[in-house]
Amino acid sequence: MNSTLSQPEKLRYARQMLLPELGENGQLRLKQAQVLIIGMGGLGCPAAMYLAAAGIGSLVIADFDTVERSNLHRQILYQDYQIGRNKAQQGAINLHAMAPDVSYHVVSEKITADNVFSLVSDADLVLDCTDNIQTRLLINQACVNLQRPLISGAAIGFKGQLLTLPMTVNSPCYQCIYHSTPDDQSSCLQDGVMGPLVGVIGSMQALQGIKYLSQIGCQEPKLHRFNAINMQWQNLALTVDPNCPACADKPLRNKDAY
Amino acid sequence: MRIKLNNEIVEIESSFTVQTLLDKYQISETGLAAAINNTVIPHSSWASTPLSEHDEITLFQAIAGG
Ligand SMILES: [Zn+2]
Repeated sequence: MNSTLSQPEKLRYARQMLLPELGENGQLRLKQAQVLIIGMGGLGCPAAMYLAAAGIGSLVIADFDTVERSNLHRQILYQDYQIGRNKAQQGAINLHAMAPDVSYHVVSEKITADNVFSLVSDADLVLDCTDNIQTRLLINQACVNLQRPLISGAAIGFKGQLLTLPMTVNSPCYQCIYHSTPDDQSSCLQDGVMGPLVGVIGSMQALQGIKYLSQIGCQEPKLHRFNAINMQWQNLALTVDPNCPACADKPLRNKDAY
Repeated sequence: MRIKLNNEIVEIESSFTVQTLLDKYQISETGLAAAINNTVIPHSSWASTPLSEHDEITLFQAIAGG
């Protein structure tokens, strides 16, 4: 089943399969992939919608939170009447209505050190769409240990960051870039965030993910910073921190030792 | 010598490293990342990475929201 595309699938994905970079081979790679999306908020909603619409075979969507009225200006997957429902469960229902060929797996528990490793282990690609630094560090550690590619999005106010971390040998991790993390993290709760900004960053996480899985590109570690006031992007190259607390003693750094 | 710090031209001594720049401007290191000419410099290299004339330094914070 997974090694061919049905006629309805060929029709559904015709406009992207037309792209010579993707083609039928790339589409099949998307169909054979499992993507873990952690956080179904402002970033996770557009990321999941685009990945589902693009024909990813299996989406694992994780969020323990419920839809609130104050989420709806940016979390565009949910309907007004769905306030109060779990975001992962409701998200899967709404995604299924849009893209029924995808297989959806719901994780409605909080991401902790107890469940993150098995979830990451099953995934071909991980999207960090969370809203707090503790979970980001946990996801990074799991991706480092299991060598799973991580595409991390973040946004606050008018500022966005997109981190592409292939987690191949001798490529950097999240903590190679951010050695320490603020105790008093700013969040959408306290500081506000522009809806279309998280849409831009979440959509770019999906774009990077599609390119990675279909082997079009996205193999280089990169940090893209976006300023939504002046509309400027800064593209930064990344390097390994040999003293990184997350990856210095892991196989990611020295394959031969293991 | 002159460098650019977050797009503003500043005058520093030629012996400066990333670390001495942060010290001079009393910039908190918490959650901070530093890049020279669009390459992020890992924290453990800040004290040993010298700055050169016309370098463009970007200092920015981790953000967690989404
Ligand atoms: Zn690291």
